[in-house]
Amino acid sequence: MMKILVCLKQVPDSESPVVIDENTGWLREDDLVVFRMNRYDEYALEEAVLIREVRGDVTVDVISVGPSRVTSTLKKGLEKGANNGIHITLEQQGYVPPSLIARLIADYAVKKGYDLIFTGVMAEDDMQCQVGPLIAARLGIPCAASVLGETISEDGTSVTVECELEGGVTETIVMPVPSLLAIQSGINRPRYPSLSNVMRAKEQVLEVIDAGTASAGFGAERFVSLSYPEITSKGTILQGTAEQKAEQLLNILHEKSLL
Amino acid sequence: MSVLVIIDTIENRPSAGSFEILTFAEKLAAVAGLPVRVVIAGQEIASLAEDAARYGFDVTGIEHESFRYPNPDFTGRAVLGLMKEYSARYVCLPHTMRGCQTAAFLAASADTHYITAVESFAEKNDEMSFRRALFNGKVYLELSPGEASVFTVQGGSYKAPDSRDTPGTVEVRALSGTPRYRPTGVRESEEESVRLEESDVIISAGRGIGSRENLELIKTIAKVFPNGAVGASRTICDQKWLPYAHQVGITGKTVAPKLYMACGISGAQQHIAGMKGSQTIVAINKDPRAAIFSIADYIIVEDLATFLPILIEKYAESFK
Ligand SMILES: Cc1cc2nc3c(=O)[nH]c(=O)nc-3n(C[C@H](O)[C@H](O)[C@H](O)COP(=O)(O)OP(=O)(O)OC[C@H]3O[C@@H](n4cnc5c(N)ncnc54)[C@H](O)[C@@H]3O)c2cc1C
Ligand SMILES: Nc1ncnc2c1ncn2[C@@H]1O[C@H](COP(=O)(O)O)[C@@H](O)[C@H]1O
Repeated sequence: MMKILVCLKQVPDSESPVVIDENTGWLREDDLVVFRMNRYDEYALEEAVLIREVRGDVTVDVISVGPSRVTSTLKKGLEKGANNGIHITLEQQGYVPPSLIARLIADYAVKKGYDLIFTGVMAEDDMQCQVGPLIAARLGIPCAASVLGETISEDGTSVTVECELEGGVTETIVMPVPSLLAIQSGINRPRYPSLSNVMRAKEQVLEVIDAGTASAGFGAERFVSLSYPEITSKGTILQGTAEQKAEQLLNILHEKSLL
Repeated sequence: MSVLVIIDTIENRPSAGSFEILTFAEKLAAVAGLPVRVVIAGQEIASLAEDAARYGFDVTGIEHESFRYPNPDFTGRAVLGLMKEYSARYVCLPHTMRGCQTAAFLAASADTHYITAVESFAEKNDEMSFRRALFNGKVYLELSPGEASVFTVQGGSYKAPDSRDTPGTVEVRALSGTPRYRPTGVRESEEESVRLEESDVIISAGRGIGSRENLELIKTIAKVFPNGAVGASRTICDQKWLPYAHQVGITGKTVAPKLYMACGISGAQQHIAGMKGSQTIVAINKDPRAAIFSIADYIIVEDLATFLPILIEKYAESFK
């Protein structure tokens, strides 16, 4: 029996407005903000489910740390095929240090003895690329980041992974089990939920763990501020109707002898 | 105490952007009043270590056969000892996938604070504050680290320093021990039929094109130019709308055409790194705050679904 834990982060959809709340200094969370599963984590979850489909004797758990809204992402995880969902409730507003998230997940995982832990390479909102490697370091297990493919040995004691480096280079690594893999986008094609899984997810109860006051006294980098980037562009903003902009662009390209 | 810079290598070549972070480290060291020391991990590191010492900093090369390919786990474990030895207050690595892994290991093991993808820093009211992008550059976050910290530095944020008249000292150490895992080799992506690097004009599609059908509009525009090609952000290739050979960015191609037209691309650092050297950049995006506009020469705030057909029509009217 192989146990896989997949970490799911709920993020604001990239089409949602990103607005700094003047009162809190953090991002505004109102009705206009739509939350969904981090896309990299969709790939991670799909990879785990594919492994179960091939090997059979595999359980896939999904875990998420966050306020009550993240239950919808955990439910989505169940709909996409996870066996169990774990919600670590953390109501903390504003900046949440990734090291805290990593610690909470590692503290849970250590008790369960997972063979493989999957994260996404990066969260689309905070873009830290931290939580996966930090969980591995806390658990004292090796980690492979930016994974584009993996093959588990038949006896389940090692896993050969293809890792992406910069500039179109991939590295092949033979890792022991347990290990943590941070999954890169494009590794598979995440599926849509099946009707039977949607029905099952409706019924299924999530395991809820209260992070409580975990963050109190937690030594982390201190939040200073959020700000919009300065408009540093020296670029020319084309004005007018769409037609006028199209004409201007064609003229500019013509003047530059590109057309 | 010191500011430590960690550089790793692939077959003894430094990973991209490694020397840029020397400038970051130097500026940080100047504010903190500390010396910079460089650690380079590789299989046979002596000549690269000499190279790095040209910038004037003392260099420690660490050698092990398993450093032939990047091995962040083993690098991390070796550097942990050096952090103590050199009483490192700040540790700086490039913000590469491997850099992040080593950095996370160091931060977790040494129990220091950790800030990734730093683009700049400033001292405000006696406090150091480090700036990094969120949401592909739509907003910026400033964080203040504690006494000791590990940083990864976003590529392209700093320029490599000039070499100095007096080089730093070089010490090379052979490591013993066995890594916990083995990289067995590296592979370059196969020779591709799409020669993006040789095109004069690249019309690139991002998620904002909305549908696979709209790629036809991009292809039509690319064909208008004598040596034009279609490029893409990673999201387009991940969805298999185009092969990865079209991808521009840190994990794709680096291009510098005469004209780069970014259509519905938000301007993530990973994309910008691959095209910011283009001579003329035109960006079309419906979001006036899209980060791509910060590097564009011509900014067009429009919906692509309506704008591209108009552009094609206007071209047909006036240029055909
Ligand atoms: C390790 C790593 C390596 C990576 N390497 C690369 C790489 O090499 N290359 C790369 O490109 N990415 C890379 N990425 C991904 C990168 O971080 C971004 O996720 C990606 O570049 C975003 O692609 P996008 O701009 O197409 O999509 P999005 O970020 O989703 O942006 C879509 C844009 O389209 C606009 N838009 C939407 N609808 C319309 C419309 N109708 N008309 C006009 N505009 C519209 C939106 O305003 C938005 O700005 C990498 C990520 C990681 C973690
Ligand atoms: N709050 C969270 N709950 C569960 N998983 C998380 C959380 N935050 C981050 N992760 C995981 O860590 C990965 C990297 O996130 P980050 O380090 O924030 O870029 C994500 O793709 C998730 O798999």
